[in-house]
Amino acid sequence: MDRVIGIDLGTTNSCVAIMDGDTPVVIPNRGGYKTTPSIVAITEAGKRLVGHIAKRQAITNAENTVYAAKRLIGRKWNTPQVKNALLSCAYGIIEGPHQDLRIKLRDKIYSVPEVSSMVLQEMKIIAEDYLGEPVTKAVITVPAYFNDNQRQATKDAGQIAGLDVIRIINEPTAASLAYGFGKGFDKTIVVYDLGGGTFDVSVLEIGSHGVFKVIATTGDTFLGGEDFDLRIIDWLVERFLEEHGVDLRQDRMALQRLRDAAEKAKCELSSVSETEINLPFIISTGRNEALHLQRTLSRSVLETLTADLVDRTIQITKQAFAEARLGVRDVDETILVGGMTRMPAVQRAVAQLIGKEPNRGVHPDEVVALGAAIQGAALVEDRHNMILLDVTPHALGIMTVGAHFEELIPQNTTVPTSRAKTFTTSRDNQTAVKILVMQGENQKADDNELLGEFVLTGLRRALKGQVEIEVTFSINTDGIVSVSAKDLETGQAQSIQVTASSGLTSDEVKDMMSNAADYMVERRADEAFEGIKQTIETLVSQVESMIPDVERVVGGSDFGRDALAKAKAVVFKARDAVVRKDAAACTEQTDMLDRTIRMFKGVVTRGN
Amino acid sequence: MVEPSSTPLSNAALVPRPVTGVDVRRLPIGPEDAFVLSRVDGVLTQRDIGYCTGLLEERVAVCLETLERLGAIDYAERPHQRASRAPSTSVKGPVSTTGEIAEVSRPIGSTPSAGSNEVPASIPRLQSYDPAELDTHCDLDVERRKAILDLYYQLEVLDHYVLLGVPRHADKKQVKGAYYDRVKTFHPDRYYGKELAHFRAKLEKCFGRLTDAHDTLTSGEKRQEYDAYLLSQAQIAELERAVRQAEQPTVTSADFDDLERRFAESFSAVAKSSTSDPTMATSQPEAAITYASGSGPVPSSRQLTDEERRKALARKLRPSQANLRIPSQANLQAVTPSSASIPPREHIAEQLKRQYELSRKSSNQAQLAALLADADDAIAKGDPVRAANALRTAQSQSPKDTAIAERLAAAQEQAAAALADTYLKQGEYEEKSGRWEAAARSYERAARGKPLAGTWESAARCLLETNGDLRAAGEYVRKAMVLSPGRSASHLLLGRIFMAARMRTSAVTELERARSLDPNNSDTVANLLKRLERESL
Repeated sequence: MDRVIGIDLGTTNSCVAIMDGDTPVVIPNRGGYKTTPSIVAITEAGKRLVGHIAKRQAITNAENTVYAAKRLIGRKWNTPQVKNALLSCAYGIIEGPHQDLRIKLRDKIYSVPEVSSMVLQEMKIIAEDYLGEPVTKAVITVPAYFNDNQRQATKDAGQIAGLDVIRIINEPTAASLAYGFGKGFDKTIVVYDLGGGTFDVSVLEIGSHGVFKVIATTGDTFLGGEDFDLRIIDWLVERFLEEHGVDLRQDRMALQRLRDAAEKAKCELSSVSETEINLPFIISTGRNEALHLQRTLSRSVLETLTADLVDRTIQITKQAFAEARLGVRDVDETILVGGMTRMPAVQRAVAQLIGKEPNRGVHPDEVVALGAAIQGAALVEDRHNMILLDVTPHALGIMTVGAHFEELIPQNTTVPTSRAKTFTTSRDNQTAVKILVMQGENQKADDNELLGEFVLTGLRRALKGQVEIEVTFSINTDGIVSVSAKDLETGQAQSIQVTASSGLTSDEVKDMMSNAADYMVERRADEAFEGIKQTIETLVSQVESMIPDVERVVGGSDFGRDALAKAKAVVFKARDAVVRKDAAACTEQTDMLDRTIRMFKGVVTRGN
Repeated sequence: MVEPSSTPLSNAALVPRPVTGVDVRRLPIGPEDAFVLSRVDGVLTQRDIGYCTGLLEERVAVCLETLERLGAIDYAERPHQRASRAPSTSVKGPVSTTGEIAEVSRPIGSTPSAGSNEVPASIPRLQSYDPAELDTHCDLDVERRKAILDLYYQLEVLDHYVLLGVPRHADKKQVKGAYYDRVKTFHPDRYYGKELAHFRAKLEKCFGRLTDAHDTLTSGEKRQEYDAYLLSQAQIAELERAVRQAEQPTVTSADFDDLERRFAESFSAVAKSSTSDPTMATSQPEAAITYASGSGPVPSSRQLTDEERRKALARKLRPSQANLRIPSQANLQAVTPSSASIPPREHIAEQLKRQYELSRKSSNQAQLAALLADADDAIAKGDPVRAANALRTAQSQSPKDTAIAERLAAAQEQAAAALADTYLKQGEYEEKSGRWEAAARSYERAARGKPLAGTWESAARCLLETNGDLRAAGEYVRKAMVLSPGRSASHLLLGRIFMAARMRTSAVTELERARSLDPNNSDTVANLLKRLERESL
């Protein structure tokens, strides 16, 4: 039976988990870490790096190291969030076809799902290494407030990585699942999820009957730890600008160092009240003079710098309560999810709002992946008596005359759901009808997200108004929108095409998939090769250490001279094979080296 | 839409039997139920009981239901499927305004049982299943398939309460519990990875409807509205009947008097030739009096005398029943020849007749007074149905009383107006829920009962919303215009109808007119005109 892994694809860090019997467990990576940074880099040699190793070289390779790709996935070029990212990201973000985004690393251009798929692939490998068997099925989590485009793009990323994404679930819902699964209590809970890049609040009812029902969910997909970091960076940069007249942001390496330092300081200030940021030689002035940055950041200053961010999260939480039509007193527990909830200011604000201490019983970094693993097992195995009832976070509707937004499926409707609306032709013999489908909460259609223009073609030729088409808008359990149409008179299904597609077309996805598969094969070969390389190096050094002894014993004889020459030749060939990465040649040389060593041992023993 | 009371009528021919050993005095029943119980003898059918007691058949059915539930009576054969009767219990007598409607009589586990993954018990089963559907190859067991089909095909018919399997007074927690229980069977995730064939689409529809029911019943506001909607549906059924029955011919007292006279004449002819039997004679007046007051069981243990037979016949011919079972002439003839052997006692016959008529008159008057009091009370409580019924019975007692006739007409008018109001409320609820066609129909009926421009316009608007019958929509708007001319809204609506029908010139005319009548509408009109321009290009 195929086992399903649960992947928390986070903005800053990702985590993978699997069900072990009745309990979900997090799978650590090879370094023993339970989370892996969601960072991808391409080295000068063209090699792809993912995770901790990519993070370590981020400073020196700032332009070609991608972080926080989740902030860009599923977005369009001319949106304010992307413009924001352009200012603060050291890596290249450019415009692609259909207003999509592309990322430029070294000389290649990647789509955002492609970059995310590299992180997913890494998580897949981590799981496979741990389990010792191939993994194909996964449940991937997304922020609850992600819209249809963002979800679709995440699913594409999974596909490119070679995973069958059986479900996309919302992060707060996953967290509640991990919190309440198998516990057998009936509670109304609020999940406050402040992660690296996104913020979600969900109000849920969980119960002994095994049904986890989301009542309301809301959030902000561009509010998270990164923004807290940016405040610190701004604070440092501005003072530096005043003092030295240099804008550190212009230098990519400096920017990367600042980022690192800011994140570190932020984390430290959760436990100490003051920390020092020390960045010597942060930038050179061009007159062979280097400037240093050294500053002390106190917790209270940090809290002042980020007060409005925390306040915004509280406002959004209040909104969630209003949507759920619940008061603070109706909530039994509040669960904190996401690394940022370690910050004392955040914990204080939440406690103040709900009037009691939030529940600290869940691990803020791991709980989402655990929940995803539970859901994966529940779907595939028959024995788990659990059903997840999630809701759609945005209203779905169509654009009507006067650029108004006509709502078809309201916000916070339980999914799966569908609604139908009847359309008709406006001209005689009209064979196609165009519908603009949008997602969002604003009255004006322009402020909402356009999911696509759905064109119904192949209508019967008839007088205007005679052809009645019933269009059904459905949102499935992944939260992804689909549209189908039916000619009411004949009952015939009409075809729907999505024109002006946002994101990748299926052909593009297929291309990327095959590229990723190549990488997998390449990478696997890499790892196997590492082993052989190690063996050869050990053997070679062993041979080389024995040569002086052998020379001493048989150096004068013909046999001795021949043996040494042969040994040197083998060592040379072995080294060459390593450099060429010729695995076959390496294996051959390993044999030769073995024999050389045996021979040398024999000589030395007999000689002594 | 819920169909109340369609089933009780089909039980009309069933014969209830009294259950022995039941202490009637201990039962929690009212006078009406007791009256019906007194008529239950294992011989009379439900319909007959209706005739005997003078109650409406539906009332009798409801009383019998209560009695059966309490174990006071049972049936020789089971009544028809009672499944969809659940909502009809709300038809019990005058609709109570406290909202205390009888609990669904089927056993409901309102708390889900431990093995709650099983097929839910309280969705009424279908009578039969289409084998083509039931036997489709898929990964579900037969019970599960049946459960899905049961729910799917009754989605439109069952109300939210039955759908979820909760009683009317269920609180939020119970509703949620029931919903979660159902969800375990009807959520598509339960069958992830399984082959479902056509059941998948059905499951999703069922789930959607269950979610709607849950959302409506757990929101205080929406639940109130929905309960009012169900109530109004029941009211409509009653009101319609009240209004309709007014148009049916009733057997009046005059007819009855005529028949009586003829019987008396034939009786006198017989009595003259019959020998007097003092024991029989003395026992007659009591019997006559008791018969005249309309109570007492049908004597089944002793043989019927002529007089008693005639009285029984006369009782059966009481007015306020639509169907009159008039014995054929053959029977009448049968009465007279057999009693030809009895010598007539003229003076006794006359005495009996007088006594009979006297007691009948006095009881009639008492009854009349009671009926009128009842009607007054009903009017005071705002229940035109009950008033109309009472007054109709009163009218048949004394047809010459013009006051009663007037009051009856007034009550019927009120009933018709209440009917229209209820239709209006129903239409509003349906419009809000997006059921345009149903709303258009309700508005139309409301408008026919109580013609108002606004109502006609609402009907037209709903038709427009659903791209329905535009011609009818146009007609409705014109009716509205006739009722209240010079309303900008009417012309605006008509303009939109013309636009939908692609009659450009007419549309423009109407829109312009709308604008001239009310300058506040000029923005809307301008937008519509622009759209018209764009679409005609």
